[in-house]
Amino acid sequence: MSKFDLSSDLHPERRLSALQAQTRRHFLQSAAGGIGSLFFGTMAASHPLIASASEIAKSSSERIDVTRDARNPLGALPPQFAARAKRVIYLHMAGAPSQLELFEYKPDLIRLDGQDCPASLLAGKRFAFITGVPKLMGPQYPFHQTGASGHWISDRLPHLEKHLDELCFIKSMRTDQFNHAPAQLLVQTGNPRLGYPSLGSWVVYGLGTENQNLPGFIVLISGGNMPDGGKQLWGSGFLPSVYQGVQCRSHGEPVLYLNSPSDVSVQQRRNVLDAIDELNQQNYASFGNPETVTRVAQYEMSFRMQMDATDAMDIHNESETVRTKYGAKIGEASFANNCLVARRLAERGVRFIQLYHWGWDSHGSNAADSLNVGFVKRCLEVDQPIAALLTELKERGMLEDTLLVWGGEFGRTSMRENRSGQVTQFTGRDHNPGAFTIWMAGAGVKPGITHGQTDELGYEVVQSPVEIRDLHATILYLLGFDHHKLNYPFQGLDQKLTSVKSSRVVAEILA
Amino acid sequence: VKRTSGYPSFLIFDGSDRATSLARRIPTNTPLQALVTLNDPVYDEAAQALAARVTKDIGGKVSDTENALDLKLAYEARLVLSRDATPQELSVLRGLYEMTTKAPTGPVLTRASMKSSAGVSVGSAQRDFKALKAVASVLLNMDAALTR
Repeated sequence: MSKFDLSSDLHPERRLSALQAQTRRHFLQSAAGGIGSLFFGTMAASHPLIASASEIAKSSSERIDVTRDARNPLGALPPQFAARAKRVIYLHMAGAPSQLELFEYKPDLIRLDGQDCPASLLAGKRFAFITGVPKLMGPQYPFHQTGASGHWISDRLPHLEKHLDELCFIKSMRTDQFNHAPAQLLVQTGNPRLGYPSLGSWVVYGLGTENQNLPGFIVLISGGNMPDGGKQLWGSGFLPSVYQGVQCRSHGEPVLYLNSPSDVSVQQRRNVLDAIDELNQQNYASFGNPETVTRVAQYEMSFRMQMDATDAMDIHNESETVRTKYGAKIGEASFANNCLVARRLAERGVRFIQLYHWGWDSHGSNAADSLNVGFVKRCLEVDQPIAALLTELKERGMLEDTLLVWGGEFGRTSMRENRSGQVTQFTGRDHNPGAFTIWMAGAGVKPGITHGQTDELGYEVVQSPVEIRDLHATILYLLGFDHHKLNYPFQGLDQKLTSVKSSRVVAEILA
Repeated sequence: VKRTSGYPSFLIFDGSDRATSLARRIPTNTPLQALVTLNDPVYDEAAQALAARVTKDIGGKVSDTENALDLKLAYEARLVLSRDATPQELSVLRGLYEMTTKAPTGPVLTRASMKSSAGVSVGSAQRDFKALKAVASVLLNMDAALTR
């Protein structure tokens, strides 16, 4: 069958596995006399990568044209209309921090602390853990009013408090998911199920990125646990995988294997990459799989990252004063370090920077997951770094075109959790999809305001509800997109981040 | 032993950290993955071992140098791709091979066993090996090899 009789020295089973390794592509190519490749070849000619979506777009006024050179899929494109935000830093507090211990001051809840929850609040509700009749629980930390805006805030965030007049609160956020993974997926991809592109992927798909030597969408996790939603939270779904978020390590080297092996010179590496690219191009010409061209682009990116990524991620290059401001310590996997890295990445033109913190799931079922212990630590871990990030962005004039978003995936109940009917020494609250608080700051949002309102117990939204898809529409608007028109044809539908349900830009918070 | 401390290469390829089960593996393709298959010592040594295997299996058997090179490259490609390389692919591999043998020699390769075939100087055997290793690295990084 070939010049080399591999079968002679191979066990039959190994030979079988080699045969199984052949793909359907090769079967189509060889068995049908190349008919398969002819078919795919025609497809490829009429629909080169990336352009495939946009070429259809030309025939429709309802889709933004994102045509790019297929070899430069991250090339920066102008927004659809004048944008206030050039980049986003999204701080996701995985586990869902309690709004009632941070920003939502509810004096009535103090008065009703310890009383049975009225049946009207429980009728028709599903909880993750609460059973029977739980007791209402007042805020576990004292609140005070501060700043020119007169926002209420608890005593847990003394550093962030100084920036209160720069923050724009939405206290009427709502979701329809009450478990972490689907709720996080909804917040990050607009859909509670797997397989949809994340917010960051959509943004980089639509806008590209300013620095071609770094990925356009970078994800940093502050040690501890991965968010429950997993890596799909920054996945590219049905968009080309070049728009996937790139997770960099939070401890040790941020990117592994940035250096070529010691016996490979830069020129040799270049030669090897040229050969890989050419072979992949041949493969693409034969089979027309757009992901092959994506791979070419990713190999080119890896080469450029070898030059630039180390410097971008290395907080050694910051002064001790700056590191102290954030509470960042060299070598630690911490939210503080990540906030400092986020500022460095933003300066270098990275479009979407996503930070995940963890451990906010304060049920009260154990010390780590409680409002009296774990929650206190979480607040300490994020308070100073976020304040430092805000300060530095402002000092450098970057807050004007950087959008900061802070929030979890749902809220927490006004009732104390009574898991299995037990009350433990720790206090906690269950998941509440009915109301939660997020804040935004920077580019294009009104500073020092509060949008929306919950009832006197902070349990349900009573004024100006904001759905997750409304938040997405607003973020896209700030970046210069009509969320209806940033869409991609998949499974017979013009897929949008904001789904098929109606969504609106929250104009009330726009500056 | 920390069970949730995954093997870094697997994590870069979006493997689970084993703290949670995975309902589905998502398609994944990032520049960090390219850095793994290009620079991770595991893949570097794999390329080296592949070059050593080609040298051992084909090296001494053919006297005609030109023909020997064609055979080596075809064999090397077949081992990785489980199919015969096309003439166009072989021409790219040959181009890289020639460029690498002409390049100024860097630090000499270490661990692999290198037997110089009769009549060939050690210097040229080393250049041959280094070029075969570069070819191996290319093969292991081809989309056709990485995507099944």
